[in-house]
Order: sequence, then structure tokens, then C-alpha cells
Amino acid sequence: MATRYAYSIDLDRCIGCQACTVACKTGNEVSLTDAYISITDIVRGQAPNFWGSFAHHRCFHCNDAPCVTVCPTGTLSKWNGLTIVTPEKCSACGYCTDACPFKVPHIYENHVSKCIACLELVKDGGTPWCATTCPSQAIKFGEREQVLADAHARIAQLKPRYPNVQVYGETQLGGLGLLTILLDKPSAYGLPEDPQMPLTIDVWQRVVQPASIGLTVTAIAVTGLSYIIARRQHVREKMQAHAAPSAEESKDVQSKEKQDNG
Amino acid sequence: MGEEAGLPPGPTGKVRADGAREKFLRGGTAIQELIEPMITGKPYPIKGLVSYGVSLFHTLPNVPRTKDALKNLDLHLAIDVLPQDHIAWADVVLPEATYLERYDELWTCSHKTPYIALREPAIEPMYDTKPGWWIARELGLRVGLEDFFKWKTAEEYLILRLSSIGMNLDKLREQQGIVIQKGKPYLADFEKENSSPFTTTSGKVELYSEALEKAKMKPMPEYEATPEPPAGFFRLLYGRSPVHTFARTQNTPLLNELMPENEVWLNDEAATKLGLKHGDRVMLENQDGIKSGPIRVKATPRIRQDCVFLVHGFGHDAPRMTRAHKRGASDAMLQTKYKLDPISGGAGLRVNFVKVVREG
Amino acid sequence: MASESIRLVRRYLPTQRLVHWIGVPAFLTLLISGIVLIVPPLALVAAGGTTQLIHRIAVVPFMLLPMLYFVLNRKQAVELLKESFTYTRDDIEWFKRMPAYFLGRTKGLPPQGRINAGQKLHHASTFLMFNTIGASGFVLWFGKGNLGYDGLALAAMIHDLSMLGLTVLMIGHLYFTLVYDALSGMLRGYVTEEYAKMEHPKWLEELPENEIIVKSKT
Repeated sequence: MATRYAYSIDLDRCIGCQACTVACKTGNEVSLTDAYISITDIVRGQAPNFWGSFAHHRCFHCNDAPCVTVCPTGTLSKWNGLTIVTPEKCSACGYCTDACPFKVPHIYENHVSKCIACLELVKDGGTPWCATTCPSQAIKFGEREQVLADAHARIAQLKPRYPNVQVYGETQLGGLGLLTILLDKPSAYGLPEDPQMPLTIDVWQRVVQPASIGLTVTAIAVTGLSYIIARRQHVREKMQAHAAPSAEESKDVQSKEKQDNG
Repeated sequence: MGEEAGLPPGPTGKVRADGAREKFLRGGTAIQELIEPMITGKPYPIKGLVSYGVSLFHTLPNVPRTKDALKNLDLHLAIDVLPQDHIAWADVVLPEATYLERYDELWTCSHKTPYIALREPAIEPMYDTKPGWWIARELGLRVGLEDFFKWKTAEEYLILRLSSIGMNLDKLREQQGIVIQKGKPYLADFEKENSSPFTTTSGKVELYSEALEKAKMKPMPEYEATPEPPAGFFRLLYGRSPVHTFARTQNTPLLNELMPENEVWLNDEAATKLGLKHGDRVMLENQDGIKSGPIRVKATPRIRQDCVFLVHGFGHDAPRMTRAHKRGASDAMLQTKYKLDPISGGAGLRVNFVKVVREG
Repeated sequence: MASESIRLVRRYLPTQRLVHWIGVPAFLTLLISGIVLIVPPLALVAAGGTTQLIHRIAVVPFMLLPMLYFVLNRKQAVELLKESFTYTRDDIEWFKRMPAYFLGRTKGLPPQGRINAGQKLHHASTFLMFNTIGASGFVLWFGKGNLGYDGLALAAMIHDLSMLGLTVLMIGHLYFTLVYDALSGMLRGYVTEEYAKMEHPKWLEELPENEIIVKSKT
């Protein structure tokens, strides 16, 4: 049975050092001005009762990934719980940039750019660069069940200090492959509380688009068949029209004669 | 007074220019104390300086005084891997190869998990630079120090050193360049010998120090109020960001991409009172009229209303450090005053005050 | 009755033919490149972005067609639009017998003018969907990244359905052209008098004499 992988990021442990951002860029040879991870610091509350946290913006590896649903070339796909990228197929159409509820994928130099889950490393039994590098061990990677269980254990420890502490990603969008231990409600981090696969995306990809192509093909088939019938009918009518004038003329003559002879 | 420091005496036989045996009770060198003698010639003249991997204008307070001192030198030799701010003030610059292009001394670490690690080059130097050991040796041979440089190459030196533990370079490389030994708790040896690691007369940690009392200093520390910032000024605080290291990574492409400049942290209410908002560009001017900037304001509740904070190491004036040149403000530039601790000679730098002035 | 000559009627003027024949390759390029962009088995063709570039280049002549027609012959362009959106009782009757026409029967249908009811509807629908595909395409091209998922899906669905409509109409157009021997009208500008009498008798009646020419068969 295939493993379902997951990451977890513990925002209580994160010190905002951005070693993960740098390790990811060097390990995956990402262009200098591009990045798969972006970290910002946020302040919650009012003086003197405020506290800070670091917010990670990176692919959430959704189970029901809208980006995968809309990708017309199959560049984005799911593999063992992770949303992976096959860059050679990318046509830079940019659908993914609008479809993602978290606005993660972006187009960089004609390709989609987002966390690739260090796929070659993981396939070899290794761990993604971000998780290996994090000096405060805030990022973990492994089998989803274990990662989730560990995250819940952490929640229990953190509850006294952060009343709103929660695991983000347990159930959202079929379960996110990146679980975050948030120190406050999702809205504090600019995250949607309970994102869903958008209905419009679903209808477009599962109904309208296939139907458009299907009906076009059907139209070709139908007209192809009826052409044989219609063509024969029209040619017959044309030939009748050739013969008809004499018949018509003789008809007129006959009736005229009738009248004359009347 | 300074005999316990175990440092060799200066040329007069008694006094060292940095005050290690005279000015302070304990402690090693106090580097900034070397600058004054370069200007005054007291207790004896200092006419030559080698800046080896030290960014002079970012690491020492009172930069104008440092520049005056350099003007008085007969020879300023700068050895560095980066074209830092001070090399424009050097008579001779010897560019050093980076750590990826050279051998270095073995890295040794004791205590809990002792290890010895090899530091070797990954590639040949890409430009006309030389490793530090080569520079030191070539200089040493020319100033009569041949006895200290009997080895010809770094490898020869390392092999000799490793032989003392029955190792050599090849064996070390076979072990991925690292030898880890079994560690022991820090004080295990002292326990065995039934001795104390503390050099106090009682052999214990002393909160009330009789040695200090004997030296006519306060046996227990007492709080001394420090001057408050005058009206319109903020106390200048400085510190670190996990992205950058000292004043030497601001030009590194990956790190520069993440943090190309520092910001001046200003309490958000104090900012509003000054008519400033987050992102505005300002100049910082200290109590002695020294300016640095322009620098962006970070308006935040995370700092007191009477202080501002800068990440150290920015505000470079180094045209060859193209990504870092003139980005942000320099805390070191604004630290023209400092307070010396009479016991250790350590310098307290957070005694400078700055005005925040809108740019332009 | 057999003659050595054939009587031809002038059907479409050079302006009309030019506009038509610019439109054909433009539309086909858009259709084929569009299909390549959204069908996964053709992903490797679309990879790299060339197909998208071709699609966008072809948009230019396609979207400028009405303007071109307008500039070349304003009267004709406006008349075409007017005719296509004006339906008479005869047209309604014609629609009732549409299935028969589809299967090749013209006899028994009310006599038609220059363009028959079906053609009118074709033009009107094409014009409408030209606008919806153009507008949705514009949104997809220039709004990318700022649409959100609902905006993206709606624009794409309108684009998809417009493509479906225009393509089905084009298939129908080809179909009727071939069934009823109408190609020469758009190819050389002339149709046979026989064709005109069968398909567009009202138009033929009102034509001035000099629009009918006699050509020898040899």
C-alpha cells in the first residue's frame, strides 16, 4: 500500500531564520529571484499583551487540490499525499495561479513554481531539505498518521500558553499534506477557516469542459452520418427540377387545351 | 594587576597598549583600546596594523576616530575574502581565498561530543587569491619567522598534527573528514581529581568576590543608573537577524535576496507622533551629529517608546560589495560613544542616542 | 434544353470573400491550438508555451474581422447584421421545416431571400458568441492571477461553451455548404442560377439583370 506522506510545521518552534527557504532554494536549484517558501512575521494582540509568530506561505499539498483539478496538461498531480510537479509538461497557462485558495503557485520563466516536495529525495527514502535543515526542528516529514499524532501531542502541550492553538489541515480540502500548528485562529494568519473545492471549478472541469469537447465530437459524427442522406436527397431534388420544367410545361399546355376545348 | 591574564608584556616590558595589564583587572585584549595609541602614540606608538578578516568600521565603535588612526599609520595591511568597507583605507590588500577554496586549521570541539573535523578545499581558487596559511607563511618567511613555518604546505602541517593522534589525512578523509570521540560530562575530570574548575580562592562560585574586594572594586555588582536619552532622541539598540551573520553576509546573493537591508524598529505610537508610518525612509543622527541612512521605518508595538533597534551589519560603504553598498543604516557608525567595564575591558555600546529624521 | 453554356449568378463580392477567408484560418488556428491547450494527452505539444503564443497571435485577425468588414464595406456589414437579426413569418415557417432541410429537402419550404432563415440564425449566433468568446478570452489572457477561482472558472466556462457553439455552427456551416453545392459562391463569387432558383428564389427575382452572367462550359 502506498504511503501517505505529510509535513508538519510547528509555529511555536519556528524562529523565522529562513534556513528552510535557503536550503530549499539551494537543494532544488531554484532561481535566485524565485522561491518556494516565503516567511513573514505577524504580531497579534495589542500592547502590552501581544505576541509574535511566523507565518509560512508555501504549498499546502491539498488532498482535493484545485490546482491539480484545473491543470490542463497534467503538470500538477498527486503522489502519495503530495502535490508534485512534472515541469516538462507545463504550458504556463496560469490556471493554477487562480485556482489555488492559498495563492501559492506562480509562473516563473514559463513554468509553474511551487514546492516540489523534494520528490527525488523522498522517493529515495530521504527527507525534504526544509525538514532536514530546520535548526529548531519545527518542520517534520513522514507518514501522515504519525505526523498528525505528533502534532496533536504538541497541541496538548501548547494549550495552556495559546488557548486558540490548533492543527490546520487535518480535514480541510480532504486533508492538507502540510499540517501547521497555528498559535491562533486561521484568520490571524490570513488563512481561510474551511476552504472547499470551489463549486465553479468542479462544474467547469467535471461537466462543462468535457461536455464541450464531447458534444463537438458528437456534432461531427452526427453530421458525418446525415451527410450521406442529405446529399442524396438534394441531388434527387436537383434532378427532379431538371425534368420538372417539361412536365410542368406539358401540364400547363394540357390544362390550356382543356380550357380551349372546354 | 594583569598578570593573571597570562599575556606577554608590551615592548616597554610593562604596559600593553590595549590596557590588558593596566587598565582592566582581568580579561584579554580590548581591541578598541588599540585605536587611541595609534593617534596619541601613548603608552607607545603603533604604526602598523594587519586587519585579518575583521570589518574594522563595523566591529569597532567610533568610526571617525578609527579613520583618524588609520591616517597615522605607516602601514595598513588588509587581508580579507570580501572587499569590505575598510580596504579602501588599506595600503596593501591581500585577497584571501574563501573557505571553499582553501585548507584551514583542524576544527576541534571538546566537551559533550568531542570531535576533530577536516576543513579542505572543494575547488581551486577561482581568482587571484591565496589561502590564509599561505599568506601567513610567505609573510613570516620574509620577516625572520622561518622557525615557525617549517612546513611547506597546509597538508604537510595537517599530517604532522594528525600524527599525534595516530591519524593522517587519507584516514581522516575515509571517515568523511570527521573523528568523533566519546564525550564525558564537563566536570567529570575535576570530580575525579577532586579539584575545582573555578579559579576563585574558595574554589567555589562566588557571588561575593573577595578578590575584587582586595583589588578595591565592588565585591558585588551594584546598579548604576545610565543617562537617559535627551528629549527628541531614542536609545540606539542593535542586535541580530537569523538571516545574516555580523557584517559579512549582506552581499551574499541568497541572503541578500531574503534581507537586502535593515529597518529601524520604531514603536508604532512613537512613529505616529513623529508623523512617520511603516515603510517611510529616514536618516538617523546621533548625539555627536553623525548620520547614517537612509533606512526604512518598521513601525511596531514590539519595542519600547524610548528606543530604536537596528540589525547590525548594514549601511556598508563598500562599492565593490555591489549588492550591499549603501543599503540600510550602520549601527557601528552611530556608536561614537561607549562605556568600558573596568573589570573585563568589555565595551558597552548601547549608550548612544539617535534622532529619527524624515529623509529629504 | 441542353446548352453549351451555364448561367451564373453573382453571390458574394470580393470584400465578403476576403473577410470570410481571413476568418477561416484564424478560427481553425484558434480551435486547434485551443484544443491542444486543454486536452491532457496533447500536453507535450502545449508545453513550453508556443501553442499559447500561436493561440494569442491568431486572436488578432479573428477579433479584428468585424472591424475589417466595417472598414471595407460599411453598407454590407451593417446590412448583414440587420438581416441576421430580422425574422419574418416565412422564417418561422422555414424553422418548422428545418429537419427536412437538414436532410436535404428544399421543396415545400417557403421561398427564401438572400440568406435563408437558417443562415440568419447562424450569423446572429456566431456574432453573439464571437463577443462572448472574445470577452472571456480577454479576461483569461489579461486577468490571469487576479481572477480567483470563481472568476477563472466562470471565464473558462463561458469560453468553453462559446467554443462549443461556434464549432458546432461551423460544422453545420460546412455541412450545408457541401450538401447544397454552395462553395463556389464564396470561392469564386458565383453560384449557378439553378442553385439560386432552388435555394434563394426571392433573391433571384429581385436581382438586376447584370448580376446574371452566361458562361460557356468549355
